[in-house]
Amino acid sequence: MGAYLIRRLLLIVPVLFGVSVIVFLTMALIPGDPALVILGPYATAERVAALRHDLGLDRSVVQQYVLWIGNVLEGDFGRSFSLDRPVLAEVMDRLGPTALLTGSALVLSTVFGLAAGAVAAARQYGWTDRLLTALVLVGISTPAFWLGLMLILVFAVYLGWFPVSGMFAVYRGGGLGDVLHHLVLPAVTLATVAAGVIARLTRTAMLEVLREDYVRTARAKGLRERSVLYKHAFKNALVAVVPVIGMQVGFLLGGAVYIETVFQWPGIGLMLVNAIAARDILLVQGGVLVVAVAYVFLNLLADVVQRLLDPRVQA
Amino acid sequence: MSAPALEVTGLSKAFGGGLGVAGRRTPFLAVDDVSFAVPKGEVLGIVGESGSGKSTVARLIAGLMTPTAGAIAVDGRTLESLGRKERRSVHAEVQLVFQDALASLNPRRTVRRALAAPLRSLLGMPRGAAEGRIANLAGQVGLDTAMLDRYPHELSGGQAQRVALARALAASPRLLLLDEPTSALDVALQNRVLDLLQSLKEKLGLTYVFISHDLAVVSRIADTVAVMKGGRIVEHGSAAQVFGRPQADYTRLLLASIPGNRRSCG
Amino acid sequence: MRAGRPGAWALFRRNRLAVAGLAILAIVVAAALAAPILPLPDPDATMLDDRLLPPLSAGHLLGTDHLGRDMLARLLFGARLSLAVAVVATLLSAAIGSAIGLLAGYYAGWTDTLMMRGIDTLMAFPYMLLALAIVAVLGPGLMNALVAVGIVNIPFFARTVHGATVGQAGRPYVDAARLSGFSDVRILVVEVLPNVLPTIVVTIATTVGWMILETAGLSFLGLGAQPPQADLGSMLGEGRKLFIVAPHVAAVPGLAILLLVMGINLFADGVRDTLDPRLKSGALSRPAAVTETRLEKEADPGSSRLSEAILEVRHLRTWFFTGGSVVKAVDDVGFSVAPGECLGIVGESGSGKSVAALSILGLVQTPPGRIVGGSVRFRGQELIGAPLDTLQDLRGNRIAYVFQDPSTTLNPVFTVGEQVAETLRRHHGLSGGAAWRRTIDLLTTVDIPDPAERAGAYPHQLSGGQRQRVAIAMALANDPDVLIADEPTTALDVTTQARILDLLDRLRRERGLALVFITHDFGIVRDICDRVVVMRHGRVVETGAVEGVFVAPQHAYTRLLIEAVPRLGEAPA
Repeated sequence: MGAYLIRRLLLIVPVLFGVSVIVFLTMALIPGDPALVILGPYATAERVAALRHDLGLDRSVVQQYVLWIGNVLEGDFGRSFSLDRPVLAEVMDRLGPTALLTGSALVLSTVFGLAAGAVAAARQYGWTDRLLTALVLVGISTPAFWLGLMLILVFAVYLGWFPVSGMFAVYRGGGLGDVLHHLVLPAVTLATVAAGVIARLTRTAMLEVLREDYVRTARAKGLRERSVLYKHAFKNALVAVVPVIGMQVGFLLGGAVYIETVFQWPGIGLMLVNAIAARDILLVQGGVLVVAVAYVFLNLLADVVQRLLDPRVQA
Repeated sequence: MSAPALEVTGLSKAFGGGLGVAGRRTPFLAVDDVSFAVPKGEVLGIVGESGSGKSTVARLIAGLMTPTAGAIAVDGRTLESLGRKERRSVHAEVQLVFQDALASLNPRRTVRRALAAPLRSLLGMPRGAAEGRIANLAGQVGLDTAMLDRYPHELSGGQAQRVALARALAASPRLLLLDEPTSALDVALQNRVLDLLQSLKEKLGLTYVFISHDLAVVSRIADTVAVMKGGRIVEHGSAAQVFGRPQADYTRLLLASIPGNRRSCG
Repeated sequence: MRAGRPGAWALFRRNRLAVAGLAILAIVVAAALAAPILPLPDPDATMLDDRLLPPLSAGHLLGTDHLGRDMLARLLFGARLSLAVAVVATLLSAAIGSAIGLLAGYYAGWTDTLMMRGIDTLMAFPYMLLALAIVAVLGPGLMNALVAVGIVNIPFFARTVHGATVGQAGRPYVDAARLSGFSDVRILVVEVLPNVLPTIVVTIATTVGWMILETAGLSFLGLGAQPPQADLGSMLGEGRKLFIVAPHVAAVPGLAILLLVMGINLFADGVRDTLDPRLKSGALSRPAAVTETRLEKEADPGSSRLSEAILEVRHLRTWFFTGGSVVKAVDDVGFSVAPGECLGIVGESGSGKSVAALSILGLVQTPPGRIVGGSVRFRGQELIGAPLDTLQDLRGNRIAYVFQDPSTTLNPVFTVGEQVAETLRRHHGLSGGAAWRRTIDLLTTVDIPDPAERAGAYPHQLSGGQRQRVAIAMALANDPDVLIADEPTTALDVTTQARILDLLDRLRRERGLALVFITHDFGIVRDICDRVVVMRHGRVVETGAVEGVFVAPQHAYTRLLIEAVPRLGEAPA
């Protein structure tokens, strides 16, 4: 396992390099003068000239990249003109809420997705299966941002069970209970699509596994159906599902952009949307880079989990 | 004295051995210094268990893999010494019949198109001439011409094997490499395919390399037999000698393991 | 054309939901295409007097928005735009992604490594975040959103097509094409591509729905369609600002997206099922815990003929029902076995010998199998139609099985020790520790070297012969009375086979097991069995003591099987 982790960490290096190059190159795609775009419309000519020099726009692309990645590695992501504070500080402040939101959505979607998929497969063509399959279909076909609006309308505006938006109540807010109260609707909304995808895949994987020879062996041993389904079949199905759960982290991080906008949840997604509206490119760049790097490591985690589940996977 | 139809000298093939994270990996020798010659019109049987390297030998001779070391000479011409074009013409003379006949046919092409492929691209035959030759080939392998417009999944196992054989014969090869050609077939079909191979050999003056794990089948068709284990030839001799008076311990073990004769031994 | 896929439409039609999806899709597409010629108000005409009319208002079926524009007209024109963008973006990423996947998958080596590492890097970005970054740089606009969404989806096509191509490139028919003198380019385009095409089509079908959701999302955030241009997403975005006052302005386009995407997804499922050869042979359905039994007439309750028989099968009929056709896999088969006896059931593939053996404890897959007649008695107890509980208590306990291919019959994700111990816990209620100690004893019995250590190994870490020994240990765990071995050595090399046969023979003699040995090889029967049943096409053609049958076979088919057995010392001249 140790050797595997080292190997896997080494493999991450080129991916991280690629990620940084892509993020860097987005700058090169900016139409017009990047310095002007980065500093925003109210910059003075001197500041523009100074930034042009700092960015090395008078130098080759390779030199520009080296300069940029050097700064990034030192934690200098530049300064956001729209917020007038360092990009890294802003991104770090926003990371927590996004992690909380996507983390709870991941837990919700994994638990419900796996359970729904396994139960549906166990009762194939029964009423439970049909109902779950229909729910899953609606789940994966729903625009999440629209679902968020409708949930707000029903549960916040009409029923008043949950707050309409934000992360804290304005008065006497800030406690754990308050945050969780605010978290319910956005987390459920965000989890819906992912749960559908996971449930669908779990059902298919279970049905495929149930046709394997070793399931017949398990039955020939006299094991009860419960044990055949939820021990022998489920663990094998999980091997196929875990990588997809890893991918769902990416979908959730992307989906958080909409959900944070709809619920005004103060995470990176909302920050990015505001930054794009303000054409604050450095802030966008910093946010995307940090989230992408985090995602690369989360994927590593998914690989490790899969390896623990499936003894056949060799490094 | 004419050159043997096939002569293989010091043939080796290593797998792996690429650069790993922890330095160079040790290569795995699938074929290890194998040499033999097959005179024209004879049948060499290569027997061995899974992983013995017998199929790799066939793929190397057919040119589907490049050997790590060693030389292959067809009709006295060493492949390495030939140019691209000549090598191609040599390859037209050496054909391989795959173990799984059905899998060796493209599921989306009719039998007719499968048979036309070698005629048109190896021999450059015009369409009209190819049509005639296809009907001729079907006749040779005992394939109903109604089968020509079928897709592989519409064929039975025996029919698929006949199509694969016809395709291998299309470019008029002199040497056929038969890789477990009967192991997917039932006993009755096995017999018929072996009879067909025998009569084709005589009619067309072919030379065979017949690869199988089944000693019984090999004993029925081979003139000489090579026994492989772990990439090496452990015994090589006439069929009568190898089956009747085996020298190598491994050959004896193989023969003793054949079911149907062990009761007396206890 | 007599294409290899006759009746694709017939197959598709079988999936009623897919047909419903196609209908939804057809209606939406037709309405969107016909929008300009339908009698609708101008979608951009503002009527400030008629602002925010609710649905079902006179003249405005779906109401009006905050500028008094007709929602229905805007919806149809919006759907038109959304569909067009989604389809174009899908085709864009399908073309680029498939090309990358095909080339990398076929050429392997450095081409593969370089291309797929590039794809991995694109995949390293959380989905949509990259699209957001691209739109941030290019600036808002529908074209830019299209490009962004297209790029973001390239890796999905590349990966899927890469996987399919690698699968095809390793097939013998590709080698055969090479031997037929085809060049690489020709093989790729003429041989491989047609076989990968179904995968591409399925991926396209399943991606269009995502594309609609994604472009709608970008427009919703104000990064896609810009006013006055409106797609479904930007309509939703506008509706969001006043959704508490006038929910319908946001609800209507959202529902439209839901309906459209649902239609596409249903349709895509149908396309996938139609093109997936695995599903064609009968949808993926879960085999039941026990074979369905539906006796056509009451089993003949006649008394047992052989008093010493421990297991007696009579007039067994197990048929397979697929579509409209019936295959009589086992049709009136009978045999019996006594303690300490070895009964060989011999026949070729399709003779019904395995189905007969599996029927004994109801292990034939349903669907499609069904036991329609006969009787199976174990110690006089009728097993056909017995309750599942009774069968489960016998399975692996009094009657145990060993199956053919030990690489697929052991569960890959549990240690072999656990798989043996589980049987002991199930039938004897042994505690964990006791079961484990007994497991190690059993592994010793079947000659596994270093059993205490090997018990912790996973199946893939053992050789084929050792795996089969584990399977035998598993079957012996509860000291069964009857052991049914279904071609237990067919997947093994001949020298390994010899050792496994010795083991089974020894165990039978030591333990007085009734051994039912199923094989296609008469030689094995001759080596280890006392009596033999020869089966063909679901029926018994000959039965008797092994030596008698071997020396003087009565049936031509038996003779054929016997002739296939080589004789030592009779090497050909």
